[in-house]
Amino acid sequence: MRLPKVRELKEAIKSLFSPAYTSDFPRKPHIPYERFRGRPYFHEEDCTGCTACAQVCPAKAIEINDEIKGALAKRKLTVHWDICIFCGQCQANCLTAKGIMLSREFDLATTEKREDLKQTIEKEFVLCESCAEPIVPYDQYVWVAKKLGPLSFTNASLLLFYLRSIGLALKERIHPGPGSKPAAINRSTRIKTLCPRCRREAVLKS
Amino acid sequence: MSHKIIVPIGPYHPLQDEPEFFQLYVEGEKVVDIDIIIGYNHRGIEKLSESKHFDQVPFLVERICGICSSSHPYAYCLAVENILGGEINIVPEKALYIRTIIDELQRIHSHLLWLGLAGHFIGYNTVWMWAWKYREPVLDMFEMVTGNRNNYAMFKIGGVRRDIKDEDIPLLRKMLDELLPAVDLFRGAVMDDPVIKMRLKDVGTLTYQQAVDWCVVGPTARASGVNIDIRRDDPYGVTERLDWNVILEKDGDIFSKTIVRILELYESISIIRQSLDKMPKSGVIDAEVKDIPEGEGIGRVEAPRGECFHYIKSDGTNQPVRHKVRSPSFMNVASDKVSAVGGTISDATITLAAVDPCYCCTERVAVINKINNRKVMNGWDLVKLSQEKTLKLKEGYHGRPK
Ligand code: SF4
Ligand code: SF4
Repeated sequence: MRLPKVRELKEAIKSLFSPAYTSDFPRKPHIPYERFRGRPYFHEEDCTGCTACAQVCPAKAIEINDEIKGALAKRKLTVHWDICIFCGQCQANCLTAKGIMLSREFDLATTEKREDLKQTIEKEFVLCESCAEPIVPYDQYVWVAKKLGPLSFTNASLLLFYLRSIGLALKERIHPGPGSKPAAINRSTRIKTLCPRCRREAVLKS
Repeated sequence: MSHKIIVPIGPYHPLQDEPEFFQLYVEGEKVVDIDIIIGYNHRGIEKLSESKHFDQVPFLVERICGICSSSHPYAYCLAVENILGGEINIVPEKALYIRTIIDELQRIHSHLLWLGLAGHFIGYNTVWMWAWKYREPVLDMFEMVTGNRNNYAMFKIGGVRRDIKDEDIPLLRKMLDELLPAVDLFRGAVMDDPVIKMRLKDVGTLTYQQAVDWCVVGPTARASGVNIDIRRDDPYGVTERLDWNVILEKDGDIFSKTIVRILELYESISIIRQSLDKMPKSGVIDAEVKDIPEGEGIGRVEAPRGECFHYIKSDGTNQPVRHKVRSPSFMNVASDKVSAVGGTISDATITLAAVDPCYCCTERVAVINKINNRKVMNGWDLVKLSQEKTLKLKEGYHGRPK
């Protein structure tokens, strides 16, 4: 009977003379561990706009909006931090591994509305030179072309893109804009940046 | 009594944070009946899971319970791996060890959480504070290894998502070394303290036969002498290769339930230590499973509260067609019907809490006088009553009645 009390007394004295166990949070900033999964951020320069992150996100926290206005088509990628569950799947499955990354920020408090807890980036589309349908975001094109290297010469669209990027082909033509009548498909159409459907037609018909 | 007036409190009161509702019917001091009402928080997890692809489901089931947040994804992964040919045949060696380590760490933090709250309910607030203080380093280790204190996002079909790195191992060991004296302290504090013994012995007893009849699982069953433990009966992870014991007690009262949980802390610590010793230094942690064939599978995991069961039916697409979950508290909570009835109301709180019903459930209690059907007290009054009883016993023991 006496012994247990002594043991507990020891613990009590130890607690009495040690500083409070809880952290001094608002006064001293809390630094989470290195692998802490906090608020995810898009990094515009590394993101290609491929939407893989949105596909894998279990909480559907990443919203994709394709806006097509005249000859200008944009993909808007939004990560909603109020829906995000900080699982890290987006980062783990990102095409470039750096397009969206979880930070160590744990504090999501805001004085705004919860819907404003988000980050949006925009990616410009490459349009089909025949029908003006958006194909892929420009940056994804670049990424694929770079990744394939010389192999990209097997694909006319990519070859053209590559030639343009080193200044060996004319810069982009003026897009007719969606809704306008597709340009007639003839033999020369095959050396154009085309969407899959136009490419098929060009190959079959010309 | 032909017409009953029931004054319920909860379950949507802002102070009350868990979706169970107990209604005690009392005659004087004695509990004569108990109504357990569940189902207030139907989140449609099973249906939701059928709309997600296989790899997304672990994140969903992880959120069934914030405390056993490794048991559910583990059981789910086992169920899918059952379709694929069994965990042991698919999951890489290192991942098996990581799975076991995470699972046992979770048991430690859950049992410490229970211990603290049990202490609080019987008026030992020091135990509460200390237990939660020693639980904190465990959560820190989770944050270091998995990236979060809860909801670990570790489990995936065919492996784990995050590695336990070499530099983590000494820190994990250090944490366990520091935890051991604390567990000794708690064991001493509970086993040697005559007041706690008086307070908890022969209270809320669930006999062996009752435990079998009500199909209770986990520590609740083991405290009544029912020898079940999924880790031994249907081994998963690496528990089969390690040296550990199933803790059994005979009496089935709250004292036994406390002892079972405290002694299980030692076993968990020992399991983690052995796993850290035997874990391969390097190696793949993910089998990169691509397709889930058609079939049905079950997964069983010994969660801190008992057997957690998942059933998966797959039709060869990338989504489950049926997902069924049975969590342990569902079995255990019902047994309050036998363990709490016949006792006094001051014992009710701790009796309801003793099955570890994903905790704060016990705060949602209404006591109803059987004679006039009036509500006489709520959860907080009950906790107070329980604490007062301990105080009385204490004073009686030390011979200083006030
Ligand atoms: S961390 Fe998870 S929930 Fe959050 S955006 Fe990424 S994938 Fe979605
Ligand atoms: S590059 Fe990464 S961040 Fe950008 S859309 Fe693709 S997966 Fe998402």
